Amino acid sequence: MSLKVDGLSVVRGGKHLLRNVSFEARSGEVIAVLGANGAGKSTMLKTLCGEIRSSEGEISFDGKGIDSWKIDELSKIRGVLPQSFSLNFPFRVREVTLLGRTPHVVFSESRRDHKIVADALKMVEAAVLAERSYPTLSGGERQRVQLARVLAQIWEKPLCGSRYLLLDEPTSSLDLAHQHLTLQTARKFARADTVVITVLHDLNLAAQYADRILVLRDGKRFAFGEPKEILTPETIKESFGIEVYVTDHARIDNVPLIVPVGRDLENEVALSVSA
Amino acid sequence: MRETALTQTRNIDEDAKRPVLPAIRFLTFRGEFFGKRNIILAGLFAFVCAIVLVGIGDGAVAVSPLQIVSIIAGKLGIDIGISYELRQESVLWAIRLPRVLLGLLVGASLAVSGTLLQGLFRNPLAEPNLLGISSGAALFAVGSIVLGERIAYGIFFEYKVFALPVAAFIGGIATIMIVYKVGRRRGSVDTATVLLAGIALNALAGAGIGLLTYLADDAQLRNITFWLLGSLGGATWKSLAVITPLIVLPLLLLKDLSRKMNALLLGDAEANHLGIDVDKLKRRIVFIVALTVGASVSLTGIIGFVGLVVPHLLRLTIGADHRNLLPASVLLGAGLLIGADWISRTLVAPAEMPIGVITAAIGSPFFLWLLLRKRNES
Repeated sequence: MSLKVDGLSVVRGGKHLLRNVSFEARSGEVIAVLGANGAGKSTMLKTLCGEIRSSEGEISFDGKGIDSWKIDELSKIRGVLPQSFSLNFPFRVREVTLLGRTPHVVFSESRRDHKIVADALKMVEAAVLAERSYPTLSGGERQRVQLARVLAQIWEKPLCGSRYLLLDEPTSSLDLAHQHLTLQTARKFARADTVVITVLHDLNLAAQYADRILVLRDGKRFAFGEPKEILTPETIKESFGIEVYVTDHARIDNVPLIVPVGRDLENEVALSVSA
Repeated sequence: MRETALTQTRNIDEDAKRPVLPAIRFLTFRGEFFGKRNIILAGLFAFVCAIVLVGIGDGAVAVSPLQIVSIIAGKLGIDIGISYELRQESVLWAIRLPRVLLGLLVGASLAVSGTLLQGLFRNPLAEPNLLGISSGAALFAVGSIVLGERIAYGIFFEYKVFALPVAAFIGGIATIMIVYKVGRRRGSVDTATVLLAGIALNALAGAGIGLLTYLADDAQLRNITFWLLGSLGGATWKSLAVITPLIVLPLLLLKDLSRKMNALLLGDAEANHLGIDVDKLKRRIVFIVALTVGASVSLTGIIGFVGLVVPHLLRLTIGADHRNLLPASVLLGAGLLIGADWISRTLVAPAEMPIGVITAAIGSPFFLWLLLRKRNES
């Protein structure tokens, strides 16, 4: 089972936000989406989760087109972690996480739903926060609680087909340890028959945890493949406009390590600082 | 360890599937009959019962709780052997009972609408009056007082009883639709714009009401003043019969709505990812608010602050879960409005103070305290 994107284009206000993007993400793998600001990463994720309608092209989950899915059926197998988040109402962390079970609940939450919520909070190391009021949490804590909510949503394997986990910059507010915890968790889910697609900014996190990497540039698919072949100085220079050198990770096999050199600003008049 | 938790939850928790009938779960909230939710709801219910007895019993002609029971039983043809005077019976039946029932319906409508709008706009400061719904409804109600009889004179004998709720309803729904459309941008509701649009429409409705006041004759002016100050004094069995279905039927939809309202607080897109048809949910909220507030305003005029204060007071004590919040809003809103009405007619007896004065006098300081508390928190 897989997530298939075929010839996807999104046009808004006469501008192509995405242009003819195709790729396939298989159950069991983590796909990292990389690209400079405005390259179309978030647009693509939003199109995959149905927030933005595509202008052209096909998206299918389990071989079934996104428009043929009923929203309540799809919500049982597809979890989406948005990039930013505001919730001003005094919900407890446990209640927020329990909202992830919404698609599965008939009358009221069962003991199993509560157990899943407890487990999901444990998984993101937020179990101690369970009875805290959500608005009092720090940015990183909120992000982990939201992750727990999304994990609780797709906690159980569906009877047939796979699960889909779409993450938009899931590590943006997290400390180093929790960045790795989050991606390790994503990977664990992937290995249990889940398609994970995550937008990332940190190339080294992508190198370490992604099975394959999709690089977008100006709304187009610029490169797609395994980290080793994608994360080269040339590709990074062309897609991000920054000089890097790439070496092998000394402790982990087959993982490239990217070290930025910096940008050459001497010749860019617009960026010079007047003395 | 985590790996197994991930894949085998189905098996681990098989014992959770104890054979509890869904209907029993449904009634007792996860099977906990004495849960916090039920205790609070029972407490609020007791409060409403007590205040209803006070509201019916107290006044120039006092009626004891037992006499109230006896009179109502007597009306149903049952004699329970507690004596009462004929005067008590007529005051209770013709004046107090319809008045308290109206307070019950209107208080519940305003409080629930406040709760729903605060959820819809994800802004704890939203309430029917701030968004212009009440003044829009009042504008149409006043319009039908001043212009309606000229247009439709002689067509229906009982024209006013039906025309006012209908006009107020149309005014209410038109206003909330405009506010909602103005504040909606690329699929998300911009709360600041919505509140500003509400202020603009409030002013516009105020201008319209001013113009109509200028056109009105003396009898119509008296009626208009009654709308604008707010009062439960207009309650009759006939008017109750008109608005009861307009308020009770929409409120029955709440049960189904509360979980979705919780998800909506996360954001439109997020609620959608949880399998909720967000546009449909929003249309239903707008429908419920416009119908109940429109119907309420048509009989009572503008009553401020109930819709703002009740949801806040409840969130502070029982949290933001709409499954508790909505039923509790019904009860507390009803209780507070009956209480405010009782104060309004006993404080300066035998005269009567407009109920809007009482709710605003209690509500405004509370609102200020809320703002100060919020400021100190951040």
